[in-house]
Amino acid sequence: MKDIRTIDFYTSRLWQKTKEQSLRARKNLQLQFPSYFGLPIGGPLVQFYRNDSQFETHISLVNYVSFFLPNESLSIQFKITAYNQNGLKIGSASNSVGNHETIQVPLTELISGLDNYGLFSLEARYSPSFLEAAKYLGQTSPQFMTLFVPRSQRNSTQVIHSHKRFEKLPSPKTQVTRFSRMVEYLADISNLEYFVLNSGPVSINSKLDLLDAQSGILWKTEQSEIAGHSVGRFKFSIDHDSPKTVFSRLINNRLLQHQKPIVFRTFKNGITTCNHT
Amino acid sequence: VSKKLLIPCAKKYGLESGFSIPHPHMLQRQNLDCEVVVRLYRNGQAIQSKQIVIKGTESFIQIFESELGFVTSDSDLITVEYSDLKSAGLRFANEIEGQIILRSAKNGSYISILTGMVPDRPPGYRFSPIIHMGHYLINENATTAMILTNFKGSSANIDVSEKNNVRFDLYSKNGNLIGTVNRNVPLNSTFIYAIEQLAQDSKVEKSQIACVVARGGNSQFAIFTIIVSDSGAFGFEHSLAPFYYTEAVLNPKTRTKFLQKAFADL
Repeated sequence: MKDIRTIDFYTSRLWQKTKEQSLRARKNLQLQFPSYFGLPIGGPLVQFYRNDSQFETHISLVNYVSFFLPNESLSIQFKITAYNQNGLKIGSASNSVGNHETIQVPLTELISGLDNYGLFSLEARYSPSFLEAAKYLGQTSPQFMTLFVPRSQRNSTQVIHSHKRFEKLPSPKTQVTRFSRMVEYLADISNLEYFVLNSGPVSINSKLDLLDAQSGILWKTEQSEIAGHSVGRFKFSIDHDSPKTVFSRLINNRLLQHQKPIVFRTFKNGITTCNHT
Repeated sequence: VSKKLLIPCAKKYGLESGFSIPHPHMLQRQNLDCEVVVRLYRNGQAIQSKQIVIKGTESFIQIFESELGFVTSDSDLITVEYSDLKSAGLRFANEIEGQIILRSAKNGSYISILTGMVPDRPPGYRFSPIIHMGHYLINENATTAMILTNFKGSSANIDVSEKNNVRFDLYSKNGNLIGTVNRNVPLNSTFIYAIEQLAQDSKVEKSQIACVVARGGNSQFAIFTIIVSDSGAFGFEHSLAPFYYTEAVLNPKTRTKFLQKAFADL
C-alpha cells in the first residue's frame, strides 16, 4: 500500500511538473515571437459563484494593464464561462474593458441559468494581441474580484480575490492534504459552510475535517465526491459541545491548483461573512 | 530578516483586532514551546508589547486586543512575529501565513483573512512604490474603505516622521481620470481612507468614482478593503501584490522599466 502511495505521489508530481513546463514553454515561445502568438497571459483562472437565497455573485473587471502602461492603448477582452453543480458548462460571455475602465456586473446578467452555486472560469485576451511596449511585462495574469452580494440587507457584500488556474487537463490520483491557517472562533457561530472547488476536469474524492485548534484533535468530518469543474459543499452545525476554536484540513485524492476552500460562516445573529481558508 | 503580520486597527467601525498564527511545528508535534511577540505601534513607535507562548501541545494561538490589554485607536498598528523563525525552518518562514480578524464589539461577528507576513527591513532599505487598483470599492448600500497598513521597520534608527506620500487617482467607469488626492500615510501605522472621504477630498461625487488607483509610498505595505454595510455587517479582503499580474516586477532587469513606466508621473 505504501509503495502504491509512493508511486502515486511521484507520478502526480511529475505530471504536475510536466504541465508547468509545457505552460512555461508556451510562454517562452510567445515571448520570443509575440507578433505571431500574442503576449503571454496566464489563466484561465477559476472562482466560485453563489446564486442562492443568501447571495448573488458580481464580477469586478478592470483594465489592469493600462495602469502599467499609461501612455499606451490596449483593451482587454474577458471571457467568463460558468459551470453548474455537476460541472457541466452553462454558458459563456465576453466583456471588453478599455483603457482604465472598470466594469462591475452581476454574473446572472452575463450568463443565464446559473445554478445555486458552482464554478466559473475567466480568461483574458488583449487587443491588440501584441504591443511592443507591453513586451517587458513578461507574462501577465488577469485581475478581477468576485463579490458575493447579499440578498438581505442584514448582510454585507463579501469580496474574494482569485489567482488559481482553471485546469483543462486531469491530474493523476494521489492523496493531497492541506491544513488551513484559518481558525474559526465558534462562540458566536451557528454554522460553517465550506465550498471546495474542483478546478480539474475529473471527479475527486474530498474529505474535510475540522480539528480543535488547541489540541489538534479531530472534531468533525465530512466527505464527498466532487465532479470535475464543480464545487462540493460541506456544512457543519456548531453545537454546545464544540471546541472553542477549530481549523480545517482538506484531503483530496488528486493534486489540484485550487486547494483553499471558501468558508461562509453564519453567526447566531444571522450575519454571514466569507473568505478563503 | 524577521517577518511580521501587520494587523490594522479599525475602532471607528466598532471592530476589535485579533489574530491567529500556527505553532511552527504544529504538524510534527515536537512538544516545543514557541514564543510570539505582539507590539502596538502608535505614531510610528512601539508603545506596548507582549510575549505570548504557544505551547508545544497547541496547534494555533488566537488572541484579541482586549486579551492583550491593548487599548487601540484608529491609526494604531499591531504587529505579530515569532521570536525565533530560524528554528521553524526556511520553508515555514517563507510560506508563513497569519490570520487577521476584525471582530464586532457589538455582536461578536467577525471578518477575517489569511495573509503573508512582511519583512522587517533595516534603516536605509529602498522600498518599491506600491500600486493598488481599487476597482471594487463602489457599493450603494455600504461604505467602503481602503485600509493601508505599512511598516517601515522596527529599528530605533528609523525616522518615523519621514514622508510616505501616496497618490490616489480616481477614475470614472469609462476610464477618465476625474480626481487626484495626495496624502501622507504615517509610517508604521494603519491608514483608513473611506470612499466618502476620498470623494470629499477630491471634490468628486462618490457616484462618479469607479476605480481608485493608489501609487507611491516608501514603506512595506499590506493593503485591505473593508465594506461596512448600513446594517453593521462587514466584508473584508486583502489586495494582491503586482507580481500576481506581471512578471516584470520579479525580474531585476524589467523591474526598473516597470517602475519608470507605472510611476513616471509621481
